[in-house]
Amino acid sequence: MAEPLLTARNLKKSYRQSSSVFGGGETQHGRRIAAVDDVSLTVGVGQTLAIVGESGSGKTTLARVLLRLVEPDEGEIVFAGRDLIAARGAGLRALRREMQMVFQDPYASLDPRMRVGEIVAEPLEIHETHLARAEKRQLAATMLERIGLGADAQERYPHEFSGGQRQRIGIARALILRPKLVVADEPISALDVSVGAQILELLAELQREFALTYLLISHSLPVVAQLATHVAVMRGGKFIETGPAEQVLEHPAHPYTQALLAAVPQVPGN
Amino acid sequence: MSTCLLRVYDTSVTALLDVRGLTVEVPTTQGWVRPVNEVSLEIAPGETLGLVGESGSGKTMLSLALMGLLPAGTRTSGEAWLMRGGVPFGADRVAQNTKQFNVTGQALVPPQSPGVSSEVSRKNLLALTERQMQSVRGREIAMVFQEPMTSLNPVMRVGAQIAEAIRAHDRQLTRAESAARVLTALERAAVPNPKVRARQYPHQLSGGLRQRVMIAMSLAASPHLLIADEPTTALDVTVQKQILELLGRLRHELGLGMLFITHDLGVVAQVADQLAVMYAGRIVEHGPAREVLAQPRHPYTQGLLSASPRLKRSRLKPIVGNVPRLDALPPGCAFEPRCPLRLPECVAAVPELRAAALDAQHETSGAHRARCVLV
Repeated sequence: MAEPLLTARNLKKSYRQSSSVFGGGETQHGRRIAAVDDVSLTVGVGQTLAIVGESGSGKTTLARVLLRLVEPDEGEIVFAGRDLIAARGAGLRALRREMQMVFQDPYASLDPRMRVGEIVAEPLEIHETHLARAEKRQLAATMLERIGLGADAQERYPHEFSGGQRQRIGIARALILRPKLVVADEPISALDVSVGAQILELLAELQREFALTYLLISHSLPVVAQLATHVAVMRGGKFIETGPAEQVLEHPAHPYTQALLAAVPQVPGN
Repeated sequence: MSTCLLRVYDTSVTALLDVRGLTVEVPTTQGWVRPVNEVSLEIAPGETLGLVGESGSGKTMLSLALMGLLPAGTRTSGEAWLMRGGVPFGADRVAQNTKQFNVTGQALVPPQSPGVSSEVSRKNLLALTERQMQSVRGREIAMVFQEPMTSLNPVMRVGAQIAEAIRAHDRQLTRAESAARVLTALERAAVPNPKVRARQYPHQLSGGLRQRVMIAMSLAASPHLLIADEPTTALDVTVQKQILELLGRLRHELGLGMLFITHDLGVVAQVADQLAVMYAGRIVEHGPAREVLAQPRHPYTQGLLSASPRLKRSRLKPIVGNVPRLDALPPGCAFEPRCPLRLPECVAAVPELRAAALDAQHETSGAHRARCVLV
């Protein structure tokens, strides 16, 4: 067993059901909905834990709680040996630089008015304030080169790039601080098939190269099968099945996991 | 004028939709570009043609051209003949033929049954006026879109929206009659509790139910051709499965011809009889779906298959590079810059769609064609 990087115990997060006139018509006013309902997990260094679930399963809320973008109602999170929930101020900032995120929509997650070089270097502006401008530019150029865009991309704007290239820019921004953990929320679901495969390959390469630990949030079992070492199937805020990827995907124990697998349209060949 | 009477002499007249050399041109600052370039295809009654392509391949522009919904300023050429009155023989017979087709992989040429009029009329969709097109949309061709939430009116009960679609083509209906037709339409799309659901608003329905409502609405005026543009892309897999099953059942029951647009080869393998692969505005491979997927002949189709993630971990082989911009297409084959098998002659001219050579090992129908010099 790899040394744990991220451990969460009995996480809970619930939201009050909207009671406005535009809220759901079938639910009662003020009812609390458990988005994350008593979830515990451990991700080892260098592993990829995929959290799989359909819409509304709570997988995105869980990811946000694990990054402490959302405060949990209950539970504890230990990241790199430190208590993430108790961390405050400079201590929290230090932990946050170790956990970065790659978003689903490469069109919405890049500021259209910033040059690509500025986008990629922005995390340095926050966490590496002592660096000189030229050093930041150099780091951004190196990272852009590494993710396959060439340093001249720095001077251009996001709209000049295709979806796949934009996702590479998002990955460069996530990696420039050399984090330990990368949370990838549906990283290829907005991309074309041929381009999505490039991004999956890039994520796998970068994981080896930078010794990254991934938390992959996805609704797509075929995508999960390509990257995950471990899988947690989520439904109604709970983990209903967890285990090593091959075991969950090839010998699913829970009927819901079996139904999910059976519903995947099979691509013929190979 | 654009509608003419034809006798059923050749088999092409049995096609519900017969598109020939359809080109769509869009003005840009660099001049006219062609999102759809000389596309020809046929759909028989009861048959599903899967149209596969990535973003920018032109698949959505093609469907908008057929629906007469292209943005202003675009121009089209070519022909798109729609058989009027749809199916000239019983829908049950179509279902049989379709099953037969699936088993043998042979192109469907429905036998002419006695007692059925040998005269059918066809109309060229591209030559219709907007007014004429209005009576075609919904009644003869209907469309289902990817995101049902953006296609439904959020402040109108879904039953009223379906009733609106029904009355648009049948103004004589009384309230009671149209209410009854709404329920029938919802039942046909397997919406549970149709009476309750008809009185609800779109936001009160789940994504799957909304798509069922869209399907109910699109089929309310009994069209013969359904264009489904990524109808399940926004849905969860378990819901996707239900919607695909529903569409499969409806096409058998109603003898519905379907143009099914998707980027997902797994989905297309499940629904399509015929398959056309589009790249940069052109069809690059076309043929019986099972044959094309089992033995792809165009390097792009091969590339798409090896780039598609499967449930078993396998080394994906991405296609290098990106889809070319329409205003900067390579001179010859549009796929040449990304093609692992490219030859010097690939830049000389755009290859023709050629019949794939018969293969002794595999049963081939002879209907399988690819736009590649290697074929």
